[in-house]
Amino acid sequence: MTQIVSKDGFVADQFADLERLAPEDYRPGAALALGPTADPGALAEQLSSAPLVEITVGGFGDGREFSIGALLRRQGYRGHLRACGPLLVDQFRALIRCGFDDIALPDEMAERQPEAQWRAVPFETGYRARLLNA
Amino acid sequence: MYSYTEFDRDFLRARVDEFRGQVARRLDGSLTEDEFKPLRLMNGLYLQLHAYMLRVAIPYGTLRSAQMRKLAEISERWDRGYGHFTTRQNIQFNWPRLTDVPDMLDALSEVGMHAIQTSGNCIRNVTADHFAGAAPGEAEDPRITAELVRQWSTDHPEFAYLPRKFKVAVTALEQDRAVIRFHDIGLRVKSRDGEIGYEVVIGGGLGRTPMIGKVVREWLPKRDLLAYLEAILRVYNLSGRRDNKYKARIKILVHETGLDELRERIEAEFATGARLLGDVNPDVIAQIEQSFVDPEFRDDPVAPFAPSPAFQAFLDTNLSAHKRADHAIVTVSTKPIGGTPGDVTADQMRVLADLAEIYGYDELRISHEQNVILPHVHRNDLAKVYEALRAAGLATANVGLVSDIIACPGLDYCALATARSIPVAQQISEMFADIDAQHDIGPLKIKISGCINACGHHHVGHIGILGLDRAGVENYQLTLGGDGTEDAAVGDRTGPGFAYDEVVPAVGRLIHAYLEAREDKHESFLHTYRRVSLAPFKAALYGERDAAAA
Repeated sequence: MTQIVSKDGFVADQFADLERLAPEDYRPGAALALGPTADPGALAEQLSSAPLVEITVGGFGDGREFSIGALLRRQGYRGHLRACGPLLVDQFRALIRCGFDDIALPDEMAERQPEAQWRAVPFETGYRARLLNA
Repeated sequence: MYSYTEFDRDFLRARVDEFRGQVARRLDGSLTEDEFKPLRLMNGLYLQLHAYMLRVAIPYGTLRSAQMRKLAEISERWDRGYGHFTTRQNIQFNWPRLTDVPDMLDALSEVGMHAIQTSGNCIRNVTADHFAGAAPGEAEDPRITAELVRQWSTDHPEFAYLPRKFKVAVTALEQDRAVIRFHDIGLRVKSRDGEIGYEVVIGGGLGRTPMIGKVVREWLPKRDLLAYLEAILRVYNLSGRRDNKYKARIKILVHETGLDELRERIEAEFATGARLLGDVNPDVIAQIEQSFVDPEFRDDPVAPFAPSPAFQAFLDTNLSAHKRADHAIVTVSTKPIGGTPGDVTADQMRVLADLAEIYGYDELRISHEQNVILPHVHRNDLAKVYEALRAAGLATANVGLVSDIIACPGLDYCALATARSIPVAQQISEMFADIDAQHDIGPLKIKISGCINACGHHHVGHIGILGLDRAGVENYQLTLGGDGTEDAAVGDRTGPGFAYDEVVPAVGRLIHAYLEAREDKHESFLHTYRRVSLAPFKAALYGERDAAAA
C-alpha cells in the first residue's frame, strides 16, 4: 500500500477508484500509468483526456521522472500529476517545482518519513525560477 | 567579484539547515545509509579510507581574502591545519567528523561558501580559466557566464539525479587553460559582430574512457545559453545510460548515439524549450555583470628593478602577462620540492589572504593545476610579494615545469584508489630538486592518477602516470603526449607498466631521452614528442630495463 503526500501533508487518494492503464491500453477517463522510459511527446491523445497521470520512478536515485513531469507540463498537460515510488522528503521540493501535485509513497517509507518532515519542507523561490521568471 | 545577495544568503542558510536535518535523520534512523548517501554527496561529503572528506566549492576558482582566511580557520578548528586544493578548483578537508560537518557548513556560509553539488550525480561546481578577467584578449570575463551557470545549476529541480556527474567549464580565449574539451560541456565565450556568444563543446571526459569533446554548436547567442543548456541536460537525463555507471557519462551517449543525431535531438528540444522558457531576468544579469568589472587598477609608472637570480627564476616561471602592461599575474606554486601537490597550511592560507588584500585587489584564484593565483599584482609590488611568499615557503619557481605535478590524493586518502600518487609526485620532484635543471628541461606537465577514474588528469599529461593494482601490487602505466589545451590530445600508452620502485627512474629516463632528442632548448617535451613520436622514448624506457633483466 501507499501513502499519498501533497503539500498539505498525508492525504487520502482522491483518485483511488480510477482505473490505471498503460498508454497502449488507454481508454478516456482512466488514469494514465507511465514508467521511467515514457516518451511524453508520443502521448498527446491520452493526455487530452486523462484526469491523472502517474509516473512510476525507475528506482531510488533514478531522476528521469523529473524531466518527464516537466515535459508533460510544458506540453500543456493540466491534469493531476503524481510520482510513485521510493522518494525522499528531500526530493519533494524539486518534484513540486517540476510540476508534480503529489507522490504515492510506499508505506514502509512513509513510516520512516513521518508527515511532519514533509510539512516542514520550505518552498521558497529557487535559483532557476528567479533567473527565468518561471 | 560576485558578492552574495540576500537571495543567495537565504538559500545557503536554508540548505545548511536542511543538511543539519539530514544528518539528524540519518542518526535517528529516518534515513538508511543508502538513502543518506546521495544527500551527503550532494553536500560535498565523502566517506574516504580513514575518515569523511568535505569538498568545498570554490566557484570558477575565485576567492576573496576573507574567504581564504575562513578556510584557514576551518582547517584548524575542525581538521588538521591544512587543506588540499583540487584539480576542479575546489578545496578538500580530509579529516572532519560527521557531527562537525553542519558547523563547518555554517562557518563557510558566513563568507558565502558551501559544499553544495561538489559531488553526486548532479551538475557540479562550474570551473573557468584561472586567469579569467586578468588575461589579455578575452571577449568578456568568462566568470560572468560561469556565475550565470552556477545560479542556474544550483538546486536545479530537474537535474539533481542525473545518470552520472556533470561538469561544465568556461573559457573566453582560444588558448584554453580551462580544459574545456575534457568536460561534459565546455563553453568558449566569443564575440561576433559585437555580440557575445559561445562555441559549445559536449561529451569530453577523462576517466576510464577518455574522450575529446566535440563541437555541438559553433555559435550560440548569449541570450540562448540557459535554454540550450537545459536542452542538453534534458536529453541527457532522459537518454543517458543508467545500467552501468562506467557508461553513464554524456561522453558515452555522444559516442553511442553519434554527434549528428544527438545534436538533432538537442536542437529539437531547444527549439520547443526556448520558445517557452522565460527570458533571463535582466536584473540578475545586470547584477552578475557588475560583479566582474575590473578593480580600480593603480597606474603608477613601473620602476625598473634588478632581481636576484632566485627572484629572476621565479619571475621566469611564475609570472604571466596581464591585460595591463603595468600589472602581472602571479602563480603561487603549492608544490615545493618533496611536498604534496595542492596541500596548503592554515598559516600559508593567511599569508596568501594578506598578499591578496594588500597587493592583489582582494582576489585569489585556485587553478585546476592545484596552484594559487594572485591575478592582479602591480609590477612595482612583485619584489614584496616574492619576499613574503619566500618567507612562507611558497616561492618555489617551478610553475609549468617538471615538478609542477598534478596528483590525485591516491591510496594515501582515497577509497577508490588502487595505487599511491602523492609519494610518486614527491619522488619525481626530489629527483629534480635542482631548480636550474628544471628550468633547463623547460615546460613539462606530469599528471598522476592513483586509479582509472583519472582525477589526476593523467590522460592529458605530457607524461601521464596511472597507478593500478595488478594482483595486489602497484603497477604504473605511462602515457606520453597528452594535452588538455586547445590542441587536445589523449596520451599514448608506452607499453607495459612499472612497479612502484621502478616508475620514478623510468620517468627520469623519459626526460633524459627528451633532452637527447630535442632540437634545442626551445623545443619543449611535448613538441619533441610530436616530432619524434614514441620510438626513442620506448627505447629509453624498455631497452634499458630488458637489458638489466637479461
